[in-house]
Amino acid sequence: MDKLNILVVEDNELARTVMANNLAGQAVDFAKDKATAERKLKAGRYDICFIDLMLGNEDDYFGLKLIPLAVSKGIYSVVMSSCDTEETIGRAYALGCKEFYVKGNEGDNIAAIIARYLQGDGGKKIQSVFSTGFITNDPATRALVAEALKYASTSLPLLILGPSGTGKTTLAELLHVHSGRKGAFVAMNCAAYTEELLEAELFGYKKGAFTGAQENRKGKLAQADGGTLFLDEIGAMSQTMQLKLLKAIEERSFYPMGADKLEYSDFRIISATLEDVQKLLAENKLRFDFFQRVHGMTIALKPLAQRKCDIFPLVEAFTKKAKRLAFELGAKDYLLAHDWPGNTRELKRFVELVAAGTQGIVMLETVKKHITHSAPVQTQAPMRDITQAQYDCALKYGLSAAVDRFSAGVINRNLSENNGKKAAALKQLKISKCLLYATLAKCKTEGK
Amino acid sequence: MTDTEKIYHRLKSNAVSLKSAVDMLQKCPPEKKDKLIGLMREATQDIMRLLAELEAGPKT
Repeated sequence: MDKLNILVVEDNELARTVMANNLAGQAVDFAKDKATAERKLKAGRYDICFIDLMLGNEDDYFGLKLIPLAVSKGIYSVVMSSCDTEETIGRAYALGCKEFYVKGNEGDNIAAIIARYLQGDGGKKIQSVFSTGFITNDPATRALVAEALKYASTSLPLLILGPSGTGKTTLAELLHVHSGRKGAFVAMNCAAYTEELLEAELFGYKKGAFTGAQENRKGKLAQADGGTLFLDEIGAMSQTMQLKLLKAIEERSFYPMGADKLEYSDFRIISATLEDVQKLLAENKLRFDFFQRVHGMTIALKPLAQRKCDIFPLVEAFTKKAKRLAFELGAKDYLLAHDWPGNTRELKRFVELVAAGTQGIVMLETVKKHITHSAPVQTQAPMRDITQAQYDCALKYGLSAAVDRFSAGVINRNLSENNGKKAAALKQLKISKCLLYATLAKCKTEGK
Repeated sequence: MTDTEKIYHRLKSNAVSLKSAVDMLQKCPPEKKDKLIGLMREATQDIMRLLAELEAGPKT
């Protein structure tokens, strides 16, 4: 993402320093007096302008006069002042300022202001996110990513859920890019290491810490100082490792292996798993206290099979800087009918294969040749297409009871959507009166 | 805005800046610490001066 151009109009040097610290990662310019502020605003090349109302000891709200100028230049104007009388706030809003804050909680407020700006700029910036950063046309996924972006610039932990290949790492990196954090994005897959190796990778080690440690090595926690640490497949971590990491997250400090001196790292943690978190907790594979430290906001990404509108935008993105592809109609239909169990990763590999071996329009035969046969195309909802919750329910209560619960859920939802009209439910769900009334009676008995 | 109101405004402004600067100071790299402490000291002196003005009596 491009940096935002931000002007801070503030006469107090300490306050300017605080703002510079909180706006790290953006292109920030300062104006410490009236004349400079006017000159810079007239140039009009800023996205956001933070305005202090009183500039200088003898000033009488000169900042208010800057608001119309900023607004006329299309700049998102935010007042940050110690003067918060009702009259002043009213005047500032009447002049076109978008937000008014009392100084003193800049860390949280600025993150929220930037997130709102990104959402409310006519959708331009958020649109560019969905066409370059995280490609999706799916309304639910867009809403989810937009919501997650609101938290990007905070230091809150984020947990991304979703099957393999749904873009968890891409989303984590996007959140890092939008975080304004100057440090690196450091990603690691916890499932790829044994416990000992994972500890060495995460915490680093000193020369001689163990056989083979021939030199000091920085761990991922230290590498992510000032940046973001993305831990994929956290469920694969042992309880002992979770406990060690928990302390490091809590205290932002840790001992590298073989070290007797504490090291500090200001990392923001984003974690991910493809497993059912509740199940991991129930099975004690995930410590609750560790989960509490990493879960913050949870973002559940849908598999590609549930957002097929993304298939062709993704194909286009994968071929953007390479050979472009055009599919015949039958081939397109086949792509849309496929379930893509490997999600975006499978689609990307497919595109690479097709691009490498095809001249001209991509025909149906070519598509069939490159699509994995372990996932046959089905025109109807496949029997295996059940949710984890449904499957767990069947294991818990028995298949028959689980089917009853499912039926009751579908019937109740349909009735609700049809304002309680039973005739509509009978017609739409193609069920007998007997089943409908039996289900409703059972629901009543069970108090559902 | 009266002079007294201006004094209160500046007092609040300096005080909140100091509070934010304290939070910042804890994570501040050593090379920037001295400058930040210097600015905080200036803000403190400004607060002292403003308080003295208040003590000296209202200017209305």
